[in-house]
Amino acid sequence: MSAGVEQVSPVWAVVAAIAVLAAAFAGAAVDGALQARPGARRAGMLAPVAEGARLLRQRRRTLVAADTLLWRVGVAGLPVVAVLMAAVLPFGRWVISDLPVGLVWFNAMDVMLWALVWMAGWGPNAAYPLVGGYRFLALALAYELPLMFALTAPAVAAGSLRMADIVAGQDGLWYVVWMPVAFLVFCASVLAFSLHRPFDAPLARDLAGGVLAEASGVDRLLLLAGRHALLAVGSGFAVALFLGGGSGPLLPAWVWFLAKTLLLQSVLLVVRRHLPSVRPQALMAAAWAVALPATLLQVAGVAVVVVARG
Amino acid sequence: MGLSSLLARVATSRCHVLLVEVPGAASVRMEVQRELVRLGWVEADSPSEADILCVCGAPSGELLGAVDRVWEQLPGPRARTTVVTAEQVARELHGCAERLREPAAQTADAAGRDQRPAEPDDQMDDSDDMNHGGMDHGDMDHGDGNHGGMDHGDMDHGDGDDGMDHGGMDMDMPMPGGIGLAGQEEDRDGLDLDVLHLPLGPVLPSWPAGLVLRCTIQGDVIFSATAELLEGTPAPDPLAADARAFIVHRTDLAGRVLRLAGSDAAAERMYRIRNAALAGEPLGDCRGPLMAELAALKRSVLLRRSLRGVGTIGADSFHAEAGTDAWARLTGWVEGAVRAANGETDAAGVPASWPVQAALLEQLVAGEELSRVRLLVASLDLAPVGTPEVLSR
Repeated sequence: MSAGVEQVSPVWAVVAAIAVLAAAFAGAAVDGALQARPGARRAGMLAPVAEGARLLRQRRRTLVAADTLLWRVGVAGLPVVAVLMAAVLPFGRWVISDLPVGLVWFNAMDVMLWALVWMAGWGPNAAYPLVGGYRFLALALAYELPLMFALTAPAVAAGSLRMADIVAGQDGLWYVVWMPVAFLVFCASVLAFSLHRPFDAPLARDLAGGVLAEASGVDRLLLLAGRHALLAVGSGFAVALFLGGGSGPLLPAWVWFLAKTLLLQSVLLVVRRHLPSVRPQALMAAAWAVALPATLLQVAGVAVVVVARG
Repeated sequence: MGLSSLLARVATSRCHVLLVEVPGAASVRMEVQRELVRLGWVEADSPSEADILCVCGAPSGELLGAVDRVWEQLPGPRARTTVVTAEQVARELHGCAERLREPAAQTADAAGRDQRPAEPDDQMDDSDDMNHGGMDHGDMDHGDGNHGGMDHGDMDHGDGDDGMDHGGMDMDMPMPGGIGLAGQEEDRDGLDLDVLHLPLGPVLPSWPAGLVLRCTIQGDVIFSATAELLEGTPAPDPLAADARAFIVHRTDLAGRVLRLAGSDAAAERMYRIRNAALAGEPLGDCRGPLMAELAALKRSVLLRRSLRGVGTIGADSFHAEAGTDAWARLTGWVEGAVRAANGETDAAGVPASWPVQAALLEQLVAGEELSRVRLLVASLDLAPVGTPEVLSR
């Protein structure tokens, strides 16, 4: 089943936003179940409900000389970026906006997170969030280049930056099969830009929560929901870029896409749970000395294959 | 009515609790942690995250002052309790959840609070910008420079610990919120960099009870620090120094380092072993899980990478743990616990006195980055089991 991707009416954007939030909720539920003590997994699934209710009841903090505008923009920006990413993501056979440069749009949104997380750290005017914000910049410096080159690999293979072309290019053979390095680097980057372990130093316990340290109530809810939404959308992009999008036998494309996305999202949540945090300065060497050359070799290999195939 | 009480019921099914441990009350703190796991509640990282402030042990003096200020930083709905004996734990936590659900009590509490953040009343001596959440200036002691890190010399920035001082000497220039400009000093590379004063502790997650580290920081590098141990009630630790207490103590320390290093799954398993030992299960039963944890630890490349070389005590030091780093101390603790579960008892080393510990801490911390400082502090056993006199100095 490999029918092309078609653009749908922009009205569907509302549905897409709700779908992103639902996927984020599903991720939080899986996470809650993973975190629950043995014997209480079912209760763990409901953790996001309890957490949401708790944060909706909780008051906001008012801080002295806080940069409220930047703080609010940073906090609310995370879920917004997740939804904006989803705008170019082919959901099975449908996409909200089939931009000719969809992949670049995704990358631009991800770079926007640099500013947003930093503003969320700067805004409260307190030491721990500020250190957390700077830690994110250090992490981003490490993961962004490998991520960009990992994105290049499917684009080179498909000869296009349009997400629909990239999905169509995987007809018969998923890109993950011949670009495993790019896939792994991309998955690691998804964990990194969604602030999940092992790249959660900006929100770490040693900073009393870092960027989260002063956020309460709705602010905290938005940050946490944004994190899960970014992980969900990032998993969706991994599926579209490397795992054949909505292709699969019998079932409709959107079911396949959703199933693959939720599965990958759960796998990432399990992985994240079994890894310790990486300090930003420790990541830098690994990212630039190992991941970056490996990704470049991958892109070179892909380019050779593309030229050879004519 | 129906909706808001339903919301309250759902919300209090998973309360976030900020724990404050008074020196000497480790066993109460562990009991609270055990109860939190049983209830499916969460330990909060900062006051802004917490619904409940749970003080383990009865604080006095400076620590009490610090706890009061942390209490002001809980956003609300909020509840506060002090637990002194292990028997009270379940009842007190239950009572807190009850109070959180009480609309009238919470409304009254909120009405009694200053909705504006505390503005420094005169900018000359008030460099405490970040003491959000309406901290009371009335009770601050301007006379002595160490009021749990809360006097106006070291400003409170309110995340669970004390705060940070914007360098703060000459505050002639009025700034937003009365905050002074940060001072400048040469950093380790000889460049001019802003200098801030940031006390770490006494209320900070995975932090030794009652410890305050008054740091001078540039960026997130700690330039210098002085260590102080705030006194709690000098109650003797009810744990006797037998094999069980030894295992409990060691697994508690190991769990603290693991949590701080972000190894949540491993930390939880370590705490589960601790809780089993605490609950009086046969020590032989702890042996298997402890061996498994030790093996898992030694396999964890990432963890070793992040702990190796952190807080290395010079081999020439006369400290009992000379020549070890955080990684060696962590594995050493687990190995010691395995031996204790086997029935072998380690020769109890003579614990260093507090002034020696403090000097070591200050020396190790200087020039280190904040995340390494947190790990190295957690990797030092400042309160060896069965020696409560160390705590009361």
